[in-house]
Amino acid sequence: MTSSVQMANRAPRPSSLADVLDLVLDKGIVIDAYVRLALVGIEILTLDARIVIASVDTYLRFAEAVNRLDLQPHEQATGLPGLVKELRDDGRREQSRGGTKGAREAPSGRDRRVPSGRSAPRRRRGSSGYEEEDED
Amino acid sequence: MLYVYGIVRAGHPPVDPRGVGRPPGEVRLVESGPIAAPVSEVPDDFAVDEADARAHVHVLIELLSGGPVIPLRLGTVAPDDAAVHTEVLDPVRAEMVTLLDELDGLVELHVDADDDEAEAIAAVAASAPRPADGSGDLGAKLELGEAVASLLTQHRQRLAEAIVGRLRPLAVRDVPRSVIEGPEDPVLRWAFLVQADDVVNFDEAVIGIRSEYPSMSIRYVGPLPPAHFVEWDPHAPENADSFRGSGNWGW
Repeated sequence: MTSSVQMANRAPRPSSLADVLDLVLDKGIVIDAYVRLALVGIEILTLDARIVIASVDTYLRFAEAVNRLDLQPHEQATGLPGLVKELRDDGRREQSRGGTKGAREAPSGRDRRVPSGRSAPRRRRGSSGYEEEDED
Repeated sequence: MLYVYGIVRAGHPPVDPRGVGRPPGEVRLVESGPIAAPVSEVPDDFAVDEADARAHVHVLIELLSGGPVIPLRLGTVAPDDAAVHTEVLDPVRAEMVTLLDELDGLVELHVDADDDEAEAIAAVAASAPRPADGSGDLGAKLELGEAVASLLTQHRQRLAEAIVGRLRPLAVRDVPRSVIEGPEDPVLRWAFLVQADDVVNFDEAVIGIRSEYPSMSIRYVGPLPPAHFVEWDPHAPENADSFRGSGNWGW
């Protein structure tokens, strides 16, 4: 069992606040009479900041990602080795921008954590996150 | 004032007593016949914050190792032991006994999956229609981006279905933990209700999924109390306004 836990990398408890709240904030049994919910400072964390309809920024980001891929030669590309290598390196660098780890950590925590300004943080995932990681 | 964590069977084994509040209140059981509520003392002006939410979950997880646990919603308090009896436990004794029996030996496991966006785009890019004239104007870009968005969503749905399809046979029940429908949403946020004895098999299945999808980030958490399988139904008419409603329960 222990080795199975270790190999499966099963965490014994949720780590992010969003995952903690996922278990007890709007789940579990509710009782009312003579019993009250003494939540303070938590409600604001639960505003649902999801955007279902993608923004124009998102579409542009996706389109640019595809354009970069179109410029990036496939592995089986032949000829002009020097140019191919150069393009490939460039493409790889661009690609690593697109897949920023930092940006991807966000969704679970961000779903519930954004107090206001609803759409802004998610949109910025596409742009500001890249710049930070790209400055090296 | 007493903070109430959940419902367990009377005589439930004691656990780490550190509850909500600072310093942590000491968790004890208020028993009513065959059922009991783990509670701890809090000040009358007590308000729940992040640390308390974590403490609530901690207590529920600790309790789970000693038998079935029905979670109560965060921030549930009662004035005193008598109120826990008359308002929390006594009115629902029969239902809770049944529910505890149903949940005995079952635990909740969470599986979350996130892909690498760049890789996901690369996987679907070939299927995205390029503008016929190769133009890079805004309209063409948006059209391409929208097509990619749609393909990404479908791609992730297929991944999610594949993963859930592998795990579902090992679970008693399963439910999504959040709505996933947009092109920037993750691949999977899912809760599984699993026999405690089957957790080891579930572990194996998750190991298999991890090795099959090495580029995906997969979070796996549990065993947790079955919070997603004892839900209060806000759509039930008598519960719709339950925060100051009639005192009904739901799950």
